Amino acid sequence: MNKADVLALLLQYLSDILCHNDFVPELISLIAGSGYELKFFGMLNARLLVLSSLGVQATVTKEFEPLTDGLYSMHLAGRDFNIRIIYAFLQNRQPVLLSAFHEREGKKKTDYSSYIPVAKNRLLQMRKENDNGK
Amino acid sequence: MENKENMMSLLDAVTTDFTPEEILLSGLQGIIAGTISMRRQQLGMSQKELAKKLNVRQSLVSRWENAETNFTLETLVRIASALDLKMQPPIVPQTPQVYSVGNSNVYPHPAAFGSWASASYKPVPDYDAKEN
Repeated sequence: MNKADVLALLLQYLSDILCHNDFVPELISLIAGSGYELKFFGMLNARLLVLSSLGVQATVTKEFEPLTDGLYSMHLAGRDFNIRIIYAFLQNRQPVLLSAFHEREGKKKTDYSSYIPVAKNRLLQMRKENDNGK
Repeated sequence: MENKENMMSLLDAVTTDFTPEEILLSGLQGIIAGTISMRRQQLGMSQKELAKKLNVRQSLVSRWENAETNFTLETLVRIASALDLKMQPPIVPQTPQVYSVGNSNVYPHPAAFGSWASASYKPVPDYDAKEN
């Protein structure tokens, strides 16, 4: 068993999800060297499987929150971390991960104002590439 | 970038410093957690209702769905039964093997290798044939 085999196995469940090219380094910058990477990885797999299976309907659970302009927020909160991933859907209903950040508002309602413009811009780019700009 | 490459790069980057065994454990916990959560939603069942059905606390169901626990086989069987989920053996041999018993070769049944084996497996004996 090697790492490529393991990741290929997990990918079978998540292969319909897209992510913006800037999303991967952004997420890595949040968790690299944190000590909770594996816990985060497990929860990420769980959330992505739900998103892949339920699509827009995932928002029936509290871990998935509708925002504005077709954007949604995925909550990944553990004992040591509280991360939000902003995502959306392409015209073919394919989920696309756009932006990630640490939620530091505590009990207060999350302030998405500085993250939504970035996510919207990335969604436009993804739609140009995948939906011919629609 | 191709879709699969894109997701693969994400999974690869998140798990840079870990062994395949550590990644597999965490990944499988996540897949099982997501499956429980997804199936519960499909059935329109709350965490509280599932907890009551299995005689456990709601907080434990929450931990299951957040990939925060190791699952025993017993727990998985109970969850699968409560949510009408299919169970499959979690481990299978890497490659089919032929064992020698006395002067005969003994071939394991293809079902022992999971669905992937059916494409490449060339059955030699007929397992269902009655001996004369």
